[in-house]
This record gives sequence, C-alpha cells and structure tokens, in this order.
Amino acid sequence: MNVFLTSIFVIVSVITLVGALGVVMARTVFASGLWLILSFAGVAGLYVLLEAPFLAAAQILIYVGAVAVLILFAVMLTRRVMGDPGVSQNNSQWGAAAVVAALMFIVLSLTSVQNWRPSTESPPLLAVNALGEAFLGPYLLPFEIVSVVLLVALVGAIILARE
Amino acid sequence: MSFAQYAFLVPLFPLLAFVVIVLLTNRSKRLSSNIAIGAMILSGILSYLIFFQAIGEGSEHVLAAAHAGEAPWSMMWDWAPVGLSTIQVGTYLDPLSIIMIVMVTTVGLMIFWYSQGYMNIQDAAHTDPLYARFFAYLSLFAAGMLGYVISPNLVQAIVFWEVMGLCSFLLIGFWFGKKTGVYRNGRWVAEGDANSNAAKKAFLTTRVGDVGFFLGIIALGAVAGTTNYSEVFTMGTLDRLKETFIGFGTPTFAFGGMEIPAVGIAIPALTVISLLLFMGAVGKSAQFPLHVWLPDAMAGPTPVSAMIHAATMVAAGVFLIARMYPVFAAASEASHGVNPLNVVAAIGLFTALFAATIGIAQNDIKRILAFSTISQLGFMVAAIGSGAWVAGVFHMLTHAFFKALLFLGSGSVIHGMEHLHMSHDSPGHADSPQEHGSELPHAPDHRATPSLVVDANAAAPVWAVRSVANPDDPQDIWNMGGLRHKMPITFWTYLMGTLALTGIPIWAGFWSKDEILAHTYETHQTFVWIVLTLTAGLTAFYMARQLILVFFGQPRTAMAREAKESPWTMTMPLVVLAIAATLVGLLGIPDRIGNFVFGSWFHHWIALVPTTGLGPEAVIEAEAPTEMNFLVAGLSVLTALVGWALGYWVYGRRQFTATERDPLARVRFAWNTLQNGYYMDALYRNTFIRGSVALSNGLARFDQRIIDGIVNGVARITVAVSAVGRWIDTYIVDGFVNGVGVVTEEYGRIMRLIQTGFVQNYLLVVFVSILVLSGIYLALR
Amino acid sequence: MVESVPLGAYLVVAAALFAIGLYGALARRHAIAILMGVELMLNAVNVNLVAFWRYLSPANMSGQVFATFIIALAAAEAAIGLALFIAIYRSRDTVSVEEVNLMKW
Repeated sequence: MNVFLTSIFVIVSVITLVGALGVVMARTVFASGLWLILSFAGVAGLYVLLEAPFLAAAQILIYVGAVAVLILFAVMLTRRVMGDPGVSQNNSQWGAAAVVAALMFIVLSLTSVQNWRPSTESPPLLAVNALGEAFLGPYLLPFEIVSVVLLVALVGAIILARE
Repeated sequence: MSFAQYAFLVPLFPLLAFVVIVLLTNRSKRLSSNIAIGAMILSGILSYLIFFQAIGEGSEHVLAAAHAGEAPWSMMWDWAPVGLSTIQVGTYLDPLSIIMIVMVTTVGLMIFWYSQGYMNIQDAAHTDPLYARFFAYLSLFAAGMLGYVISPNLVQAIVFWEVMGLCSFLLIGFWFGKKTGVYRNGRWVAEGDANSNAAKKAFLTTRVGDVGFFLGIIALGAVAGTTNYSEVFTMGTLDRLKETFIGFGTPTFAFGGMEIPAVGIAIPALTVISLLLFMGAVGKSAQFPLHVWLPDAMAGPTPVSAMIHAATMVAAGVFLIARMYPVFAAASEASHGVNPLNVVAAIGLFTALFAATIGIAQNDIKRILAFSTISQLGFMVAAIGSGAWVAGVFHMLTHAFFKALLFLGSGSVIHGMEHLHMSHDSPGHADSPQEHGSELPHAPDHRATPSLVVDANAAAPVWAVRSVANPDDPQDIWNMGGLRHKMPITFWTYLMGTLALTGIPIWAGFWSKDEILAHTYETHQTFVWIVLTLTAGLTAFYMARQLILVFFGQPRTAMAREAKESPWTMTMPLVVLAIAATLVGLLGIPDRIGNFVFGSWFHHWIALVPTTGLGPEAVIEAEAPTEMNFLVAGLSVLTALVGWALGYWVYGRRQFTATERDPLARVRFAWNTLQNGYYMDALYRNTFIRGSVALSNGLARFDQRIIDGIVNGVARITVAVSAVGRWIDTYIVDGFVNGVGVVTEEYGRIMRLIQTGFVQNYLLVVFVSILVLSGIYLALR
Repeated sequence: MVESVPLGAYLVVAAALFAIGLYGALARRHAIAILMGVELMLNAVNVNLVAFWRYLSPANMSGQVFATFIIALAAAEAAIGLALFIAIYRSRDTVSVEEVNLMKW
C-alpha cells in the first residue's frame, strides 16, 4: 500500500469528477466546455496511474486538443441563441434525469464493488510496442475499418456543415 | 404419277379461292371473280386428268379394287379419334364420284363464267355491290359440292353437305336487302323480304331432312362401327347389318337360370338407316313433302339457281341415294317389313308427277324451271328406287347440263328484259353501291318476284295472287313474247335445253329418260313406267308453253320490245352448255344403236360401281345396261310430241296480251290448285308454322306464368332472407368491425402521446428500462 | 501500484463519471451540452476498459486497443454531431433539442 499513489489517485479522481460536475452544472455552455477540458485531463491522469501512457497521450491530444476545441468552436458559432446567462440550461425533465443518473450510479457501483482478484502479471515492458503489434496483428481489420469510419465521418461532417 | 392422289386438291382450290376473296381481294371485283374462275379451272383440269387417267387404267383396275373391298382410288387420313375408332377424312374416287367431279367442275365453270355477265361486271355503274362476295360464296359452294362427292365416309359427307346448305342459304338470300312487293288494289305495295324469307325457308326445310340424315349417320356408325364407305359396303358388313336390329327397351338377360325376355321393340337397322338417309336426300333434293323450299329459292340470283338449285346441290340428295345404294339394296334384300327402295321409288314417282302438274300453271319463268327440276329429281329418285341405278345416275348427269343451260338461259332472258329498266335507272342509284342493306342499287324492285313472297305471318299465300298481271315483272312469261328475234343466241340455246329436257331423240334427256323408262318396263314395274311416261308428256307440255310464250309470237310489253341480247360472258357459257346438253347423251347411247360412237360407254363405266357391295364376292355389273326398247322409246317420244303439240295448240296459235288470263285458267278450281302448288305452302303454314307458333305461344305462356312464377317466388324468398341478413350484417357484423376500429383508434389516440418528439425523453425511457432490467437482475442474483 | 488502489475504486470513479455524463445527456437543453455528456460517458467506459486491462490481463493489449478504437469513434461522433448541430442551427435558428421535435405526433 503506497499512500502516495493512493493520494494521487484520489486527487486525480476528484479532479475528474469535479470537472464532470462542472460540465453539467455550468451556467453557460462555454463554461461547460472549459470544465470538460479539466475532466478530460483528469481522465488522462487516471490513464497514467493505470500505466497506459500511450492512451494518456492520446487522451490529451485528441480530447483536450481536438474534441474540446472543436466543441468550443461549435459553441461559439451557435452562441447567439443559447449563450445568454440566466436562462436555465436544464430542460423540464432534469429532476427525473438526476434520479435516473443517481440510480444508475448506485447500480453500477453495486456491481463494481466485489472481490476482484487482480492478475499478478505486469504489463509488457514496452507496452506501446505491444499495442502497435496488436493493431497490426490480430486487430488489423477493426483498425482498418475504424480508419475508414473516420474518413467517412470526415467527409460526412464536411457535407453536413457546408453552406 | 397418279392424279387421283391429288384429288383432295379438287375441292381445295375453290376453298382457297373463297378464303382469298373474303380475306384479301374483297375490294377488287374483277380480281375476285378471276380468282374464283381460276380456281374452278384448276379444279376442272385436275378432274379431267383424274377422269382420263381412270379411263386409261381401265375397268380391270376398278374391278380388282372392288373385289378387294375398296374404292379404286382412295386416300384416307385420320382426323378425329372417337372412342375406339377414328373418324377419317380423305378422298374416295370410283367411277361415280369421278363422273360427279367432272360434271360439277364443268357446269360450275360455265356458271362462274356466266355470273360475271349476270352481275354486270362489264358495266361498272350496275355491277352488284357485293360482286366479290357472290363469287366467294359460289367458290365455297363449289368446294362443298366437290368435297361432298369425293367424301370417303358419311361424316365428311355431312360436313360438306352442310357447307352446301349454308351456301345455299347465303346465296338465296344474297339480295337480302331487297324489298319485294305485291300488286294490290292496282298499286305496287312493299310487302316483305322475299329473299331472306326464302333463304330461311330453304335452310329450315332442308334442316328437317338433315336431322334424319344425321340420325342415319349416327345409327350407321353405331351399328357398323364406321361410316367409311369402303368398310360399310363390304359384303361381310352388309350381311351382318342385315341381321342387326336396333332395340329400344331392356335387353334380354339371364337371371338364376331363367331367361328374362326383352321388353320393347327391335327394328331392323338397315331399314331404319336407309329411311333416315333418304330423309336427308328428300330435303336436299326437294322431294315431295319437303319440296316447298326449292321454288322459293328462285328468289336468289339466277346463276345460283342454275348452279345450286338445278344442277349440283339438289343432285346431292340423289347422289346420296346412289352412293349409299348398297345399303338400300341390302335393306331391301333383308326385307324386314318396309322395303326402303320401294319407299324411295314411291316418293320419287309421286314427286315427279306432282311437280310436273304444278309446273303447268306457273307464270314465272324460273318457277316453271324450279318445278321442272323437282319433277326431274323425282325421276332420278324413282329410277334409283326402282333399280335403274345406272339410268338414274345418267339422268342426273344429263339433267345437270341441260337444266343448268335452261336456268342460265332464263337468267339471260330476265337480264334482257331488265334492259329497259336498267337504261332508265337514275344515276343516283349507283352512287352508293355499298348501301346494300337498305336499298339495292342493282336489283331494285323491278327484279322482285312478287309471286315468291312467302311470309309466314301473312294471312294468305301472297305469291299465289296473280289475278292481275304485274306489268313490271321481268320474270313473268306473260310479259315476254317474241324474244327469239331480240335474243337469238339465248333462244337457240334455250331451245336445245328444252329439247333435251322434253326427251326428243338425239338430245341428252332422251337417252337418260328413255333408259329409265326402258328399265321400269323391262322389270315389269308397269305402274312406274306409265306414270313416268305421263310425266314426260307433261314436261313437254309445260316446256312448250314456256318456250312459246317467251320466245314466239310478238312482244307483249315494252320490256320485251326493248330486250337486248346478253353480253358474251353470258351467251358463251350458254353455247358451251347447249353443245354439252346436246351431246352428253351420246355417252350413254344403248349398245343396240349406239355402238358407232361410244358404245354404251356410260353404263360400262358407271356400272363398275358395285351396287350390291364391295368384296371378293361382290357382283359387279349386277345391272347390265338396259337395252334400247323401241316400244318404250317410241311411246315416250310420242308422248313428248303430244305434249309439244298440245302446247302449241293451246298457246301457239294466236297472239296473247300481257294481261290476258291463261286459256287453261278457265278450269278455275284446278288451275288455282295447281298454281298454288296444291296449297302445300298454305298447308304447311296452317299446320306446322301456325302450330309451332301456337305451341311456342303456349310454352311462352307456361314460361311466363309457371316457370317465371317459380323463379319470382324464389326471388321473393331470397329478398326476404336477404333483408334479415342485411340487418344482421348492419348491426352485428358491422358493429363488431366498427368496434374493433373504434377501439384501435382510441388506443392509438392515447398511445401517440408517448411520442413527444423530445429525444432526451426517449433516452430517459431507455435508461429507466435499463434500470428496471438491472434491478430485476440484481434482485434475482 | 496495483496494491495501492483496488480495482473497485477505479470502477466506482468510472461509474460516477458515467452517471454525471448521463445526467448531462438527459437534462441539458443545449445540444452541445448533451454531446459533452455523451463524451463523459465514453470516457467513463474507457477508464473501465483500461482499468480492467491493467488489473485482470495486463499481458493482453485488447483493453487498450478497444479504448483506442473508442477514442477514434468518439472523435468521429463529435465531428458528425457538431456538423449536424450547425446544420440544424442554420435551418431552424436553434440548438435546443426541445425545439427540434419533428418526430412529435
């Protein structure tokens, strides 16, 4: 039991959850976007703690660097209507939504907390190498398909957003 | 190469001509008639080739074939399988049918040729509007007749027989639109449709005989198993049929060793078959009870009368008796009760005399010839019935030529008489030649023959009314006179035909008629001989009357004065037929005097047809050619000369006027009786026609009151039941259906509120569902 | 490391993240906010995948591979979603999903 690591985990988790709460509680969408960046960063920290540095890097690059910026751009493009602070950002069913979310958390937690028996193995020394071999080995087909999906999404997005 | 193999082409050419004219060349008149004539020429050439080849092959071949039980030149094809046997079609050529095809094609060709002129092809304004159709019908008729005479069995025969009947109907009614009139109260009033009525009458009257014919065929097929001549005529089949009886009722059957006798009647099959077949001949050949259609059939165009109702079709009945003679002979030989040949002879004899007497009192030139035809057909039937088979057939042959000649001559006379009207026709008449149905441009009322109008509904026989001469009738011999100068070719050819018909030596009729008389005399059928001789005298009398009133003296009307000789297309056939009518008798000059030309060629040839049946034991030449009997011949010539002399004495000594009464009409009762044909039409009208109308009315009343009552009652019950059904339907079934609909609709009205269109709402539902499922999972874990 | 933090802790954090994202997706009016909620849920799933990989089968790279795929698909989804919102915004002048209710009865 390493107190240092445990405390780092707690800090990172709190950052993540606070960021997430900020996303759903913020009074403006723009603020939500900023809170989202914080939450994404927290998740990246979790990846580091889980000894997945490649994913942590990807999280930072893609989510924080790309998706969040994209979202902020979109927010700014559409802010004329929804951007006014003071208007409720929540819809009429927010109470029911809160209840459902809470119940969902309880159910998921109940199933999560059980006697897991962790493996004694340690991850490969060069995990990135192993990951690359996995992509180009057993997961080659999904890998290629995902790339096609990305391309299609790219083209589709351009077509949809075009004037 | 045997031309007989191609005999099936003989009827096929005219049939093709018919098809081609109807389908293709209907518009072109001259082309149509040329096609018809061309087809007849082809058929004629083929017939003559067959004829000469058959003669060349000689009698040995024919005899051998007869002993082998078949026709000398016969071909059969399967047509329709019926039960265990098969109906066949084909050709059956023996001396009889070969003579027939030669005769039919020759006479037919002459008549086709003549018809061009008669239908005014040379004069476009007066050409018959249905000229092409006329030739189509004629061709179809020729195909029917040719197919009939070469039929190898009765089934094929009746098919062509009915084709002829159809053509007869179509051609009698050819001018179906023509309104005829009658002269009443000094006025010419429209009366009715003589042509279509005559056509219907002919068709229905012959139908009566055809029913018998058809039943006869069925009976023969049933008891003999086939109607093929070559099989029926074998001695074996005939001997078997002699002892066959057609039974009605229960057959005998054994029951516990006990023989239960038959209940019912058994009639000798051959007798029944013979009499039924003879019924067909009676209808077709216009013998006594069914003769009434033939005089009315003269309403048709004259070439039709010549072709169908004088030369060929009416001979079909005689031909049928001649062809089926082995059956008749076998039936007579078996002598179960009635002797069919005696019936045939009796009917023929009666008809010959009966029609000859009527012929005396007719005024219409074609009607005289019509009754003469009936009389002569009676001659043939009587001849065959009395055993003079060869002579009867010979008379059929010669009669075809001279009667065709006479009819065509009468047509030429009528044509000449119409010249006056034709030239006075307003041009507007020819403007719309297609309007055939309403008004006939070519043959307007003046060609009407009022004495032919037979209307079943008329109170009195209209055609009998000739109290006043109709001055416009071109067919009334009282309107003629002196035509020998106006129409010399017609006169001379007509004279030839008359001489042939009346039995003056040298001319054809003499030889054939004399042979019949000689046969009856030699075989001691004295009564038959006397009656036929008498008939010959009557024939001479009425023909002399006709000839004198038409051609001699001075013209009695303007029409006769204006008469012109007919065009060459009409006179040339007359000349050809006149030569034939003069010379064709030489084929059958008896051996005793005729050896110097052909010998008794016709006898030796036609007698090769076995009259007792085919087969090894068949007796060929059972009837040796009857020798010339100078007593008989002299008596018949004498009778004929007496007839001529009487005719001259009554009609030839002074000039009559058109409106004058016939000298013989002084015997008023007898004259009226004869002129009205012994009131046979009236009799039929008052019995059969009125009877069937009354029966129909009665049945109609029965139908209306009782059958309709039942039907209406059923309908009313149905309506009542339906009303109940409708109530159930409306309130229960519909209520249920509507209920389902209403429930569904209300349910939908409520349930659609779920569809908020608010996406997050749906997502919420999804997660609520997941929670529920998870809760269940957790609770059950 | 494995001894310092139990697997359940990561799972509970991921569950909380998921629940928060779900609340965002269900309760926010702004379409882009909804999209953010969905992104949070996807991240929660990724955390789960990586945690399971690390604790249960570190030798097998499947967990990370799937996490990578999800990141890629999330990016694609974000691009498409934002393009859709911009298109809707252009035609209807709003990005509130409450007002985009063409599917209503």
